[in-house]
Amino acid sequence: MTRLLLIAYGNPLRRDDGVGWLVAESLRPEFSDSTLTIITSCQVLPEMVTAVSEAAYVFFVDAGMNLLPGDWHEEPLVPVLDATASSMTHHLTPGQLLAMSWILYGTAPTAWMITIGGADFALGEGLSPAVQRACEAVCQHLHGRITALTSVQIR
Amino acid sequence: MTNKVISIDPVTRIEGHARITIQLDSKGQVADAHFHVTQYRGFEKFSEGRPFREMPSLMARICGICPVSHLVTSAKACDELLAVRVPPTAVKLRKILTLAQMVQSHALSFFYLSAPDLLLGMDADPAKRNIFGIMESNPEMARGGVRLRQFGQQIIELLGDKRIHPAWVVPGGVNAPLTAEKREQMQAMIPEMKAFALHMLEWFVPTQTRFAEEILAFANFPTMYLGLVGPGNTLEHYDGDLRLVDAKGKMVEAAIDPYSYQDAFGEAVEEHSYLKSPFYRPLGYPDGIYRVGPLARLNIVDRCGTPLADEALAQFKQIPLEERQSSFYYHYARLVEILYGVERIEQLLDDSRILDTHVQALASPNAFEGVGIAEAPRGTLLHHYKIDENGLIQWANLIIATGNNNLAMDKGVLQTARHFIKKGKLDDGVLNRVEAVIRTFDPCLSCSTHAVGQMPLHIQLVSAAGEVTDEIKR
Repeated sequence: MTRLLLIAYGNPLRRDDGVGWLVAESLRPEFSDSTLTIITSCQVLPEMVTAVSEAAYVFFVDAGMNLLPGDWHEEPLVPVLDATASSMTHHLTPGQLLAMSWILYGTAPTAWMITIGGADFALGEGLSPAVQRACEAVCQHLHGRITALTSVQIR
Repeated sequence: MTNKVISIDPVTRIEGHARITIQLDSKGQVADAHFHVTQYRGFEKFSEGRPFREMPSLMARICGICPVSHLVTSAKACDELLAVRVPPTAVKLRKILTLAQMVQSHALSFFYLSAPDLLLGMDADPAKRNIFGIMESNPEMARGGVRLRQFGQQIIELLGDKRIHPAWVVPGGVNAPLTAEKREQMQAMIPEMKAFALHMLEWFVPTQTRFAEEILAFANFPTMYLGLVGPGNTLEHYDGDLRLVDAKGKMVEAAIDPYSYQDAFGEAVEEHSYLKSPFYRPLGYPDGIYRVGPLARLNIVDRCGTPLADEALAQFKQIPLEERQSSFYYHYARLVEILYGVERIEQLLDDSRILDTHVQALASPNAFEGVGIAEAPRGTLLHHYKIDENGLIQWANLIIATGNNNLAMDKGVLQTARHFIKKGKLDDGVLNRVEAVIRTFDPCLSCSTHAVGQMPLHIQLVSAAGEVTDEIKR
């Protein structure tokens, strides 16, 4: 069976930074666990490499500060063997995680990054109006993408 | 040559933010050195006025690295406020959670933060001294380190429903029993983890002989050691007697009364750091220096209480005690404790009563004051609360594991700097060693002084007149 993985990351207590988590939680009831594995986290962590190595396709979802609030886009990801970002700490970029999967397990899944422009990163829960609309659009988009990538029954 | 100050800011591959300053005299020799914790949060004050039942969850938020330790220690202080007997199964479940936290935290410290130095060498290319360098050089170690951390995190998540900041531990026990299905999931992971922990010990014991100079100069001096011990002077992380021994292994205090800890320990404040410096009060400051954490725990106990870890401890203790004063041996002790943690979790999961459903004692407050003590991965952690008749926190005091090591870290930086810096010569390997001595303690500064933010590494040579004479950034 096709293994799909969704990694949504950001801080859900920093308003729009948590948009990935809300996308993930909206999709969770739509697909069975055997179809779509969902991981939510504040950061991309090395421990995610096992799940990544077992997946055929991975979607990363995060908020971004370099897009206009409410704008979003999807781009393909490739493994990036750049250790500089992890020289001081223990979190990774999605590209580094894919590289880690390749080095440790000899496989790197096809992956995409969905970035949603945020407006409000202050302490608090809930999304700003523009990001809320983008969240709904991304959920719809991902629903279609995941359905197309799999042939499993939707609940 | 004029007097100079070298500033390492921030110290890398530790949890939280700190700076090291090294003062050179006119001949370029190290005159003094200090470890500065530059962040401040002050959770003790924030706690005032909160209902005591909120404290375990609030205290877990102190830290993203060791939330479980704060959760458990806070709940233990709240148990004292309730003055109830926590159901035995709840105690065992809390122990599993505490050990899982220790395993994942030790795995992070050893495999992610320190292994780059231990595997690749202190003088290796800084661009390689990270987890990617480990992956390229020893993918088996990288895979195992990741799996070991996952193991701890998965147990925490299975028990507490969340990997970070679980709220499962509550005053009086835990809020849900363990299910048979979850127990099986945990048990299934044990053999792989045990084998890997053993394998890493087999690798590290001979490997550390490559670090004779670091062993000699990494906070290698006599101090006392503090930690909890179980019956028969066994390794214990959740409960037991709070024991203090001296550098020769002689008992100083067999069982410090938790409610008299302020008679035993003072908390000095230094101008150069936001991290307080606890000391053993009868010997005064700074002579009352002591260490906590894995090395301290192993130096205190006679045995671990699990078969494989007991063998590993016996091998560890073949190193003479006077040599085991070196903080470099924290790494070794961490591996022994990982093995112990996996074995002890297995024992607890195999307990015939572990699935019992009575896991919480319910009561209203029956005391106005409570002290909780547990062993965090980094050492002894203490929470002390006072409440009013409405159950609201009136006063809180936290002695954080990392703080207990502050005097030793500060002194260790000076020793390491004096050993490796000659005539003011500074290169990356020397700089890395001065940081690495701090990493042996695996300090968690977010928890001990509480701040957020990230800074680049910035080293300056500053003349006595305050003029920047040289600068390195990374």
